[in-house]
Amino acid sequence: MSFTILVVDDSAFARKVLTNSLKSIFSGKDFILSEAGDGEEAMSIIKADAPDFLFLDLTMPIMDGYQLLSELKKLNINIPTVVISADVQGEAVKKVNEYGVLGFLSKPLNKEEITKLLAEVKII
Amino acid sequence: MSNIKFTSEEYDLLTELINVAMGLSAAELAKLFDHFVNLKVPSVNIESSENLPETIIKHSLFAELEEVIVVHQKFDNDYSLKGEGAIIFNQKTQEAILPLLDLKPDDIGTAEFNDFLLEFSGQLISSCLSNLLKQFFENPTTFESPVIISKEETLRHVAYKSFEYGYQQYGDILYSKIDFIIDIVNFQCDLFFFIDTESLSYLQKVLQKMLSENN
Repeated sequence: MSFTILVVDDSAFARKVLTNSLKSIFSGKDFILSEAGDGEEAMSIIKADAPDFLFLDLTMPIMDGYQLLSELKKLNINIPTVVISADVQGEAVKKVNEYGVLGFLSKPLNKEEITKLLAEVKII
Repeated sequence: MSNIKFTSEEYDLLTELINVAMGLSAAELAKLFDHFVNLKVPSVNIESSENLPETIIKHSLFAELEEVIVVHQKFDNDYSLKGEGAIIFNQKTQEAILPLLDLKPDDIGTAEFNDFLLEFSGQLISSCLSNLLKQFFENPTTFESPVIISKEETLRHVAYKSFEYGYQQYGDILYSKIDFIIDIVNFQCDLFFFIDTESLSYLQKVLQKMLSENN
């Protein structure tokens, strides 16, 4: 069965690193990757395409990750979300956990940590 | 105008690396003060050094006629990359620091407090730059002792006094600005850092290599 993953990060480089890892992790599976550079763009994609999984950065221009999580909660849209962030303050992790995210990955990302988290939450 | 141009991919990568460094330093700051630090996307640009005073005035969190304290520190990574960092904060931030550390004004003398400001600012500059440069280089970065270059002078005055003449030697410079803000206690500061022309070419090569490895 096909599934879609939306990667939201203002850095094209960070998106590239993550999408390359996801392509390798989900190799052989039928899935679609889409990308957004900020929360507002992500919201448009979410409304149009209803992705199955979200990988979400926190520090972004226009609409940051916290604002997107808050908007999704207000609209009662539940998408399994993994937060990817360089903001490794304990309070940042606590704040996003209050939104019921699947997990938190600190940047810089590496494939082993992504795989480990996805296995822990039984996505792979 | 600058002769060195970074591509949008190079700027994007450098901004992301600065973002990672900023996040690590914010976590250290949050631990020190036991408060959440609000972070914004850092800015990065290349400009002629003669525009530096106006760049600082334009991009600082503080108004140009506001009195600020500026602490400055030079850094060098094995002669391949060198530059300077500067922390700018205002009186309100200075006043916010003592309660953040559970201290009252009477608990600490002026000289002692100045020592603390130097130590604190130096640690923030060196933490952020070390966290950035270790993503490029294996060699550790060395830092000169931090110096308070301005107290009780307006941002405009200090920008021209301290960042005009001294930086002419640099030609084109890369500057980056990071804001650390703790809303509930009025703590806010800018961290600017500058990298000189020679280092800039070297940095560009390192970024190009990192980009090619991820394509």
